[in-house]
Amino acid sequence: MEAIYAARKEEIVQQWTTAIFALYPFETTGFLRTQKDRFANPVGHATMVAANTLYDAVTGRPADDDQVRLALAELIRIRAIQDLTPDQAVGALFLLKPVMRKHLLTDALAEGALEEYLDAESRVDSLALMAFDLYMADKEAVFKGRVAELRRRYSQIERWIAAQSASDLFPDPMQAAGGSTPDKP
Amino acid sequence: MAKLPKPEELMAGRPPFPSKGWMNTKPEFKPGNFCYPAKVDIMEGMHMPHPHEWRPDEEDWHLPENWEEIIYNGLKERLAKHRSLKVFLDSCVRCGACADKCHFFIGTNDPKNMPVLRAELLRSIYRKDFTLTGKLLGKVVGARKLDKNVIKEWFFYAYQCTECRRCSLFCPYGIDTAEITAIVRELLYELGLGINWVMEPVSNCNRTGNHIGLQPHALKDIIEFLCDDIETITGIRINPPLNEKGHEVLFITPSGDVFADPGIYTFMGYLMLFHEIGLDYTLSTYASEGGNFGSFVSFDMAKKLNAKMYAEAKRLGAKWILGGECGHMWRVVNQYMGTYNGPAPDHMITPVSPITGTVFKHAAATKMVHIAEFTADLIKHGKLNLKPERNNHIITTYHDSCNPARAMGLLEEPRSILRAVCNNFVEMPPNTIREQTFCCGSGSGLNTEEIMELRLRGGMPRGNALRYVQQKNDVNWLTCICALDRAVLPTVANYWAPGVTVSGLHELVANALVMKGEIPRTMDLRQEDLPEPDVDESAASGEEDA
Repeated sequence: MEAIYAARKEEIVQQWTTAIFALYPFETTGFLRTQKDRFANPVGHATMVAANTLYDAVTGRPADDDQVRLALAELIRIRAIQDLTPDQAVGALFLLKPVMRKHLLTDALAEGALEEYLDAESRVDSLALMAFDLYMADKEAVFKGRVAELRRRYSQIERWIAAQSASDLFPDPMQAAGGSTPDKP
Repeated sequence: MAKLPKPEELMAGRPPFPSKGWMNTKPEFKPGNFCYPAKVDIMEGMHMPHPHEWRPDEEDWHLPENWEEIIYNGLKERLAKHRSLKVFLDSCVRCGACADKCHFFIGTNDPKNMPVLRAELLRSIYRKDFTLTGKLLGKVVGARKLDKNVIKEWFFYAYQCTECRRCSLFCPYGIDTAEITAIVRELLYELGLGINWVMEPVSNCNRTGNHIGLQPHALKDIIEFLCDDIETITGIRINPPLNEKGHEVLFITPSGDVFADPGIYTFMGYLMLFHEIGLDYTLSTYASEGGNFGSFVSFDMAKKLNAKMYAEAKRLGAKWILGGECGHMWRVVNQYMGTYNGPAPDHMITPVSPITGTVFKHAAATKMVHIAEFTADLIKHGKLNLKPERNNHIITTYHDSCNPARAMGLLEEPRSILRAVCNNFVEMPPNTIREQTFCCGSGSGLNTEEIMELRLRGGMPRGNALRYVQQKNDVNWLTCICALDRAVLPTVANYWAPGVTVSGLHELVANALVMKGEIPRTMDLRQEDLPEPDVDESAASGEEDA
């Protein structure tokens, strides 16, 4: 099976990434697929890198855990903040399965290697579980980032208010400052 | 009963070919992808047209009854006033050179964030109402009729453009999409549609002089806090002049430097530098804001807020103005101030550095010098005693803030300063710096937290390049010269390249600056321990490498 996995890699990775890019609007898909500069097209680049690394991991080639995790993390970090539903963000991994079945299952049966093939499919599930963790951590980072930014934004105002309260001169220091608290609808 | 769908069915990618073109695809407003509308009392207070209650995610935006007439007349008036607008609307051949250059397009992958298509949102209406071919041929030549959905689309995409002008760099005709965005925003304001994150600072700035509405006594107190901190770090007490008449220089910086982290460290850096060189300057509590959120509303509002700079220079009798590290402030100063409020008051002179004698001839018209130019000149003439080793724990890269880079060509001065004050300086990849720099994703009044994820998309290209040098060169610091950058890049860095600290340029200058009579430094401006504290008692005023 190892030889078959290697021989089919290019085609499978290509079809898998095409399926992922098809989640984006029609006018954008071509750009994501063809612009190779990693700084001009970070989404396409991270997706391609992740697809190559993750395919190797799924098909059971000895994989450096850190490298797999890193490739997956880079992909999920992008998908976690793009305008995608959570299932689209993480579920991009499951789009590998139909492609694998199309290109590998028949050969696996002919080789009598069904169990090995099913193991490979199960590894897609493992990646999805890892991706779920990463996705949640990324979302958490966004929430924490929002709070941290607010604190930074008014750091010296807080200091000033604390000093006013300590001096007991103003019952309502914010009002005394004439400042307006950020008040949103 | 249907079977449970398989993952590929559940995620339901789009059909291979969309059934409708871009003109008929409507944006979907949902929490997190739009900025909150401006409050009615603020709009009223600023005498804005048609203040009213509305919500982007509601169907009815309660537009004034004659809204079509308002837009038609508004566009007509602006076409007559700005020849550039007419040229921009007429000359685009839709070559697509700009299409993939926008950080919002790269981050969102939304086709309407291609600058060409974003501009087309206005251009299609222009064609229909103002060109003969458009009137006759309609959709065939890309013209369409104005309807309420077009207004919604304008609002959606005009606030996904930070007016950074990276796209204009690649346009063979030099079309400035930022100006098209600015005009679209102006037109929306004509209908009473604005965002609070822009209008509240505008209102505060108009009334008290700075974005947050800090009154003079609070501003003074906070500056004293920062002077306390400087004393703790250096043992030197600085008492910066406020609103004093008769000084040579008026110093104006964005107010974020006074009250927000990490801008305050940059502000402390300014004060330490001025003290060390004995600059004859004053701060102003009225002109306490270099930034100009008015420029995100309309040209008229930008003019109104900008006027205080010369007014205050006149009142205080300052001969020239030194400006702090800010972004759009410098676009306004460099490109518009002369037209808005020029010529400068009669008593003002072409700026001359009192320390080196350098005449800043390029500032002959505005009488305003950027502090990076001023400090680079000091360093070039060996006027500062610097110990760059104090920044040895820092491996920094430099983010060219869009406006100083693209709107005034300030590329070399910050770099020469950085090389003088820090031994480890690494550039990000060439297609992400200098004129091609990527925006922070939150400029032009988009630095509000309700659109955080949208901002992180916009900041992705910058974050991606930062992460690259972090992984490749162990970069742990990002220096920039814009107050908005200092406010939002920590968030961008924390998400895309966790572990990178963001600061202004003059924070690093002041870290390295050896001041006469200072105590041996054991901590940096953030009061964090220096890995290699100064040795021996006093750092005398020796001549070191400058």
